[in-house]
Amino acid sequence: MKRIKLKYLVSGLIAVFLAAFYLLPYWTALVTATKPPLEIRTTNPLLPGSEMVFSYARTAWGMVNGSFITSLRIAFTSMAVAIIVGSIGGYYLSKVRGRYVFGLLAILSIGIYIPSTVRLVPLVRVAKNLNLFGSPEYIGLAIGGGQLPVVTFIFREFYRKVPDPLVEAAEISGASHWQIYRYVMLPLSRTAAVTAGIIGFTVGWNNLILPLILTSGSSGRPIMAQVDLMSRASAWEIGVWNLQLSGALFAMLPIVIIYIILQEQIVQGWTEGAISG
Amino acid sequence: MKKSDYLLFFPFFAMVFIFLVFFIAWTAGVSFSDWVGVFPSYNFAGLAPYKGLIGASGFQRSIVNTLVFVGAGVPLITATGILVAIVLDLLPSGITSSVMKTIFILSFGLAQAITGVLWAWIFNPTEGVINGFFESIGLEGVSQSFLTDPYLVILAILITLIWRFSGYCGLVFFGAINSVPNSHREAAKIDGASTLQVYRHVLFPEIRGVILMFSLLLSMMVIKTFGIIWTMTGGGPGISSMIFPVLIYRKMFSSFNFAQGSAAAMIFLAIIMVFAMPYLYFQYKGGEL
Repeated sequence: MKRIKLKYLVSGLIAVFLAAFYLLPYWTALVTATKPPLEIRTTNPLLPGSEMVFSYARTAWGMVNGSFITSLRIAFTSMAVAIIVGSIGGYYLSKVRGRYVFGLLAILSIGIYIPSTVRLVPLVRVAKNLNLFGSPEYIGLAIGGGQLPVVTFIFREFYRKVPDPLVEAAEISGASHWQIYRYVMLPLSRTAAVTAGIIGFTVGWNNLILPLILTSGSSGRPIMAQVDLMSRASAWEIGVWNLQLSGALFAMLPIVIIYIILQEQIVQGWTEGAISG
Repeated sequence: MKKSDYLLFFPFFAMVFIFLVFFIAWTAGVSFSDWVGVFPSYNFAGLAPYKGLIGASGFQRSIVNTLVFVGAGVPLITATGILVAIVLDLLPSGITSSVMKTIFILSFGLAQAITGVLWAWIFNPTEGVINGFFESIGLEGVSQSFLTDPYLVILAILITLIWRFSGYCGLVFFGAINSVPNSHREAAKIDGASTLQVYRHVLFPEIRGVILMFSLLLSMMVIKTFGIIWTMTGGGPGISSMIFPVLIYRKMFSSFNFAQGSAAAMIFLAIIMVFAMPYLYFQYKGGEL
């Protein structure tokens, strides 16, 4: 009896410690975002100020709200690429069995690990030459293209569970691949589409390096590039921490909401993906 | 396959070719060129960019930091991940466990740029949490300017990386522990093993394969870190916290040395493949590909 209690005491303490470690950044950011500069300098960063001041958050919102639309366009484009192109690829690899399957599998399974930094030069040159510099859809396409191997494998794994006779029967009755894809595979794809869609959206919303190299000028700068810029300003000017932390908190909102609502599916998607590629 | 069917698969084939073959060949080409400056130049320069790069201090520091991140960061993240997995395993399933899972996965889902800003504030030398803590217990002398000290900056980034990845790591281990047949756990308990012993001698040894595989995956994720380092330090002070993605970015878009930047990208790709190949081999052997 005593032993069981000790076990729960120790694990409870570890749980509290871990929770504190994980929540610390959000907490101190929230507290600081609502303090005036003087109090940031004089009070404990873990404690709220004498009163909550929201004017800094309002100013920060003015600095990031223009970026919300740009980043949503990026994220939705990346999400669309993940779902549409990923499901077509998954269908090809699991059910069509053309002669390119082996080669594609080899390229894609290596492609999962290819870092996006290897594509920076071509992406910039293509943007310059095709006059796509600063286009959110182009950035979304570029990010989605980088995620293509991962999402293709998600759909492939999923479609492998679809019985082959189902597809063969459709083929024998003369259905084209368009029809099989549209009327057999797509209606079955909900789970895989949600997982791939979340990945596409999250990566599109969160990406920093492509917005940095593919945009210029201030209007409609993608959100993470804006957060980065605001963090740089603080290096020179003391007391803008409440602004940049407010900006960072606004910028995480979509992800926080999605992760709270879809927690179970996200955890399942990320953990299963980790082990089975 | 009908003619019109090719149209269906075309976007997929085109994107695979462009993103996974053509663009990489392009960068490889630039890495042997003389392209220095804003305007492209594709004259063949042989191995000159590689030689110039390897002599650069930023490159050498990137190699060292890559080794430190893999050698110290990955074991620290894995160890914290094991703690997370045990806590999740002991918690009865319910709202607490569900909230904990959300917290753990959220730090992985958050943008690196945001993570960097949040932790830069915690490590702020005058007003941040860490130094505020030292001061509040009367140890002003211990207060450090973490992000401007060439050695402490690595420690600060490692802590941030633990925060980012160990929750995810713990969730993966937790899932793996749960797939171990319950009879193994019961058998050990009947033999008189304590809770800790069950983890130490039964459950974690059984998921050794998962831990090893995930360490490879973690290694790749950790050395690809860009946003955290970019917003926390920009690779600085000087070049102290430089790793490959930051080096590549700075070579290309600060120094406009696209040839050397591309050479760094190709070397980085090779380093990633050192970790990816065994991972792919295990997957292939396990029949997962």
